[in-house]
Amino acid sequence: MSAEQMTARAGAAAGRRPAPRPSALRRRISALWPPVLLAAIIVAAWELIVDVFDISELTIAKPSAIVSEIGEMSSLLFDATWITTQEIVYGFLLSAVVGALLALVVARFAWLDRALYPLVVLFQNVPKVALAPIFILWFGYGLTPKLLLVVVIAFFPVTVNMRAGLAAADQDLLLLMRSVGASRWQVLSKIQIPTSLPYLFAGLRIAITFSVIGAIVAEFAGAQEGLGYLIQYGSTQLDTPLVFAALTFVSVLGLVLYYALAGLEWLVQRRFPLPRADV
Amino acid sequence: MTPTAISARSIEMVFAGREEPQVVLDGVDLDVPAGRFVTLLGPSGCGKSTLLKIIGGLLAPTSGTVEIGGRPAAEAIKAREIGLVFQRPALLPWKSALANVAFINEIIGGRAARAEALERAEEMLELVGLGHAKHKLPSELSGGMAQRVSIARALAMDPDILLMDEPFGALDAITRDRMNASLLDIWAKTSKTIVFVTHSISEAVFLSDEVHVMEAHPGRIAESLTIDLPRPRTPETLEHPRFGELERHLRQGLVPAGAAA
Repeated sequence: MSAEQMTARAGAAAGRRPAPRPSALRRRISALWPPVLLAAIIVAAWELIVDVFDISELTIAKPSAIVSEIGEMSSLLFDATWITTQEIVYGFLLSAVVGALLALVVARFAWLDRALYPLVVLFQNVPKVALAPIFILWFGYGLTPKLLLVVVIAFFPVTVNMRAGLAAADQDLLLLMRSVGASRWQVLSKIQIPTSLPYLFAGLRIAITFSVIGAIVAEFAGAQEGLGYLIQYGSTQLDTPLVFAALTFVSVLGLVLYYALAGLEWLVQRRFPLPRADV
Repeated sequence: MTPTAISARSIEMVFAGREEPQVVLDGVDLDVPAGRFVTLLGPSGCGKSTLLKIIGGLLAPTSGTVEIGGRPAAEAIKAREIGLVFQRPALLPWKSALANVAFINEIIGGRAARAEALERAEEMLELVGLGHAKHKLPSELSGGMAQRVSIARALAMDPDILLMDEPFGALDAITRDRMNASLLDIWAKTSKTIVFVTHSISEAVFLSDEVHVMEAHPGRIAESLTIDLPRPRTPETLEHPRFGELERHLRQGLVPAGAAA
């Protein structure tokens, strides 16, 4: 047994949570290098294939061309990234609030759940990407139509998961709360909402990726700035390296936002740990 | 004569079944004198948990009345005269043992009652033998310890009556024996009236002053037996010839000779 493991055991025995161990970090790093290596191989192969078969730069940009494009166009790309980031983050936050509130409302009023929830599910069958032109028509080229599209795409997973989480509270505990005359608000705030947090975060993880899609699609439909706009502009100008450079930024942005959320989830989960199956 | 803590009269409970109404309880009468340890013993589906819920005022019977200390059960539970312990501990996983025990009193009394609730919770954890584990989270407790916390939580409101629905059913046999011994110890110190639901014959005999044997289809009390074993009950009680006799008697009633399944 290593020294770290011994310390961790002693910590657990003393009733404290064991401190994050260096070995955990090492394990994470060792889990990281296979995908990194594979990505490097793919990038190298990409470069090589474009070179060997002499594929036109209009069709596909090779990695080295993308890197030099990013170097040349960095201020344009970073400005666009800032715009798109705002659309995604504000849209995501709105989706989270709208989605969670909707879940709370249908959990509170059973009749509303019966009336509203089927409609919400039905609304899911509308291809919401197709709503983008309508939102542009109504609200112009500014931030509003983007936020709206992000919300209609991203609120649903939040609602579904949070609704399930609110219903997952321990039935015996709810009985106990009722028996001592606890108010509905007490039941909600002390038991149901904390219990629903892991479910909520599962929904938020889906919502953040949907938010990226929503913002880019909204920019496709009508925008004068942002990464989605750059992609579309680049493709109409046959500026393939610019398209690929913008794509790279969108991908990295999506990753960063996703892992920022995962970090937040980790913090919340330390405060509200999951129940064990038998407790 | 001891006053009657619980008095149930002609309790009938009918649930709407898929084809025909299901009679879960058919005219049950039950009197529990104050301070007694009473067990409802029976196979699954005999309605013993339903009866417990009705006694606790958590469920309204189709017909019949329950009086707790002379008033309706629904009022008694609002007056916090009834403590509940379930089969699973049902603790909040993000709160320490201490905070879990204090939780109900905080709900009742609000922020102002917090200090008092915590003080009371500490006493109760000492009482159930968990004073050393008060800062542990439920995930750091064994099944038996977690169930002790839930007993402490029920006692924290200082109810007159403790209703326990198969509280040790999910524990292993050895832990269960220990929990039984310590429950009797807690009972002796607090002098509560306890109604205990179980399907273990030996558990019922070991713990109780009175065992009410229930039958299913329809659920009713088939026999009420006074357990005349001396107290305090100890592991030696299990060796007592009378213990064997009572256990055998109950087993014969519940599992007739030659009956398959």
